[in-house]
Amino acid sequence: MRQALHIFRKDVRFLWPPILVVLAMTAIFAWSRSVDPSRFIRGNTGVGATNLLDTVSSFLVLAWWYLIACLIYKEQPAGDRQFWVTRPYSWKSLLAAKTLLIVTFINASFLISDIAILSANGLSPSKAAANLLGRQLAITAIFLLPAAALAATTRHLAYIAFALSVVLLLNLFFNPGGSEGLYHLWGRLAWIPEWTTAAILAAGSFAVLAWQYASRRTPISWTILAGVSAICAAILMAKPVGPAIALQSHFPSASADVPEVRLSFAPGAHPKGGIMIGPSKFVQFPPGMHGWVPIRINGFSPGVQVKADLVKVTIHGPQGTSWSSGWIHSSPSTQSRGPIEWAQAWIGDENRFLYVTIGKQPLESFQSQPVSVSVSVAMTVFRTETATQLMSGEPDRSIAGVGNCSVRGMNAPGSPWLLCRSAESSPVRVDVQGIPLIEASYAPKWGIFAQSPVSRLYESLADRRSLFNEGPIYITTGRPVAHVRRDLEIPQIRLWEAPSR
Amino acid sequence: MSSPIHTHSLSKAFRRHDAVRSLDLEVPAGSVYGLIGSNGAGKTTTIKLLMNILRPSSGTAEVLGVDSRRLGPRHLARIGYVSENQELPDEMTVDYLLRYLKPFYPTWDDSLANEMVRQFDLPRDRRLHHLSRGMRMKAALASSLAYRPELIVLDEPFTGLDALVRHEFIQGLLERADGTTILISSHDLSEIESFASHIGYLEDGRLRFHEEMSTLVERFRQVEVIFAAAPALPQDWPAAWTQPQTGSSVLRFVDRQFDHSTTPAEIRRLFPAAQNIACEPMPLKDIFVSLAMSSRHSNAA
Repeated sequence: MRQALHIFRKDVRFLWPPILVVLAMTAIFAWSRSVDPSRFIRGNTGVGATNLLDTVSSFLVLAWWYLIACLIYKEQPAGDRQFWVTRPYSWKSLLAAKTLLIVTFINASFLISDIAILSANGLSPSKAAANLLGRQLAITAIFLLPAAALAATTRHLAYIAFALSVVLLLNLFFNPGGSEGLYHLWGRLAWIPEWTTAAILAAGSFAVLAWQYASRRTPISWTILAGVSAICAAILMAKPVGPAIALQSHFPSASADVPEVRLSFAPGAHPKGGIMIGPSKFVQFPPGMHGWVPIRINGFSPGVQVKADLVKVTIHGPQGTSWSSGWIHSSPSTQSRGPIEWAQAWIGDENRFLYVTIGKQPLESFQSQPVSVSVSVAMTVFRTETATQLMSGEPDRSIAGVGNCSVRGMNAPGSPWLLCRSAESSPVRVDVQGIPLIEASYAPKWGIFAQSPVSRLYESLADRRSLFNEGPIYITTGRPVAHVRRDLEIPQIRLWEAPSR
Repeated sequence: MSSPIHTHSLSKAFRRHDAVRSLDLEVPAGSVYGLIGSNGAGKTTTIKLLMNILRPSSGTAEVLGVDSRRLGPRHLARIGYVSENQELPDEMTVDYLLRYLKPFYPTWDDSLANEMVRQFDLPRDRRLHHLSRGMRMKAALASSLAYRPELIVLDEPFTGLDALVRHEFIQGLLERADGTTILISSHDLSEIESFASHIGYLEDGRLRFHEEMSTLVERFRQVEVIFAAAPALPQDWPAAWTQPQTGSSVLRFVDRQFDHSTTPAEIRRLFPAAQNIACEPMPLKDIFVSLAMSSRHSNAA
């Protein structure tokens, strides 16, 4: 331990510039997440704030990696010209010294930053202890250990930059949605690939570090790193085993018996080239669409709302021919997911209608033939939980599942804004004046793998200002209480005709 | 006393290139062992194998009685290593380097370190990367001698140093390493010659010969034979006589097995017309060139 401290003191003495950069970036990171987000807003959107926070986070991670690279390169395990390998260093002491510096100036400073962010947002750090610990484990597993392992097997920053560029490019190529893509595939079970990847990365990186410092056999370390990377890539690209897991994953364990919710074919429904997905937002169907199957979701009891999450369409033609879409996500955002060659599901009219659009390819297979269509829909059922009244300028009010909320900036561009801050994430649906503001997200961005220990909902209410003017704003929350699957058989229709009949 | 360095069939291959081939090396205790050879002969690789910087492909090496692959902090505290291509902690000043290294060595001697800093005229407060090459090598040597190592390993320490710095380096080394075993690889044969007690000649990864300096110098002679007319080489030309050169009345060659009692007689037997025979000792550099040339000729043949 004495030797480790001796090396640690030496490293601090000679690495003060990158250490200062890390501390400064951490301070900026903490400030950016503590200050009122309205400071960053440009125009009517929160894009300015999001970009700034993302940029600060990216620079913080780069500052970490730079410090780690400088630290490891002071006594490089890779190569055969290093000063330390012919001196009586204990590799365990050397590794301990490097670990100590990382823990002191990265982990500890990040923990202090998280605590400061929580405190500045009026939240209790002690109540978020598990989340704080999880975030420490996450950054260590995902950012720190792999960077240290990479530095321990290379001799120049250029190699690290190259390796990281390759990882980023592969990530863009294979996983364009990033962590959101992971949530899209795995829903609330995203923690399985996330934590599995993190654990394998951490274990593999630690093994490489120990092996490199103990034996300095770099080719074997490269092999281990390549293997770990391949396993992690395979896990991140893997899809859930089947729709059953996908379905289960999107919902909490809560359940309720809601037999009244059912589907029916609504041949008379006319989406008129698009659908309404908000009080004033109309989304046009993309060109090239050839047909759709309009479905009505019925049977809501008071205080119950439904969101269709996954849809599967199977078309049975004559002579036993059939085509199935497989389980597809239903979301307005799917409109940007490429040419319509398959089927897509569109939710509209306050979730009362579901329009399953069928692309050119399957349509042509069954052109002008009477077919039967099977539609399966997996849905989340919400029950309205609380209704809270907010007035602009009033202090924060606690809303269960959403956090401490207030209305900000009545006179600012894009105003007013609803700002809610919470130390935990939960899939809560939020309605303002009875109109959905946010869907109950099955892809929470908050928590351990998020960029901040505080989840901040910051949504413009400008498009519904006329609904409350200067009066009170009613916030209604809904908690998911069940996930159900409903099937609908539509016999003997012609797909060409379905849209207009 | 056992040899501080002993290798048995030590080999190292990099992909398809054999850098060291079945090397059997024995460095006697207390000797100054000069490992010589042309570029690419395997000197640096051999030293890196001994210092556990590289791992052997096969064979074994023992350093201070320990398998080189198991050299740990306890053993490295007894070995001083200086290499021309070693990366030093450039951000450190000379003074900080010595203060930093002190806790690593139980036998560190502050007074000896200070004495060497003075003798080498090292600027204490200057960072290593601001020092000249010679100064850096002297700083490395000072930091490697201050704990009075039992074994000193020097890999091409004179490369790029001017004559004065070389002299200071060798002086500093010899004054403070009395009785210490030194293994030194170098191209600078004239410097090696001045203080090496043993020589090993590496060629193409193989140890071609190794012996005490005194017997080596005694064994090699530049022979010049004067004739009245141009001499003809006899059929039974001895194998130990290499690089024969004939002129109008002179024959020159290198005798690699010179013996005062037999060689002149053998010359007279083969060349009865010889008028004068001169057998001059050869400097190490000429011995090395002779060995290298004859090796090339035999390889070409």
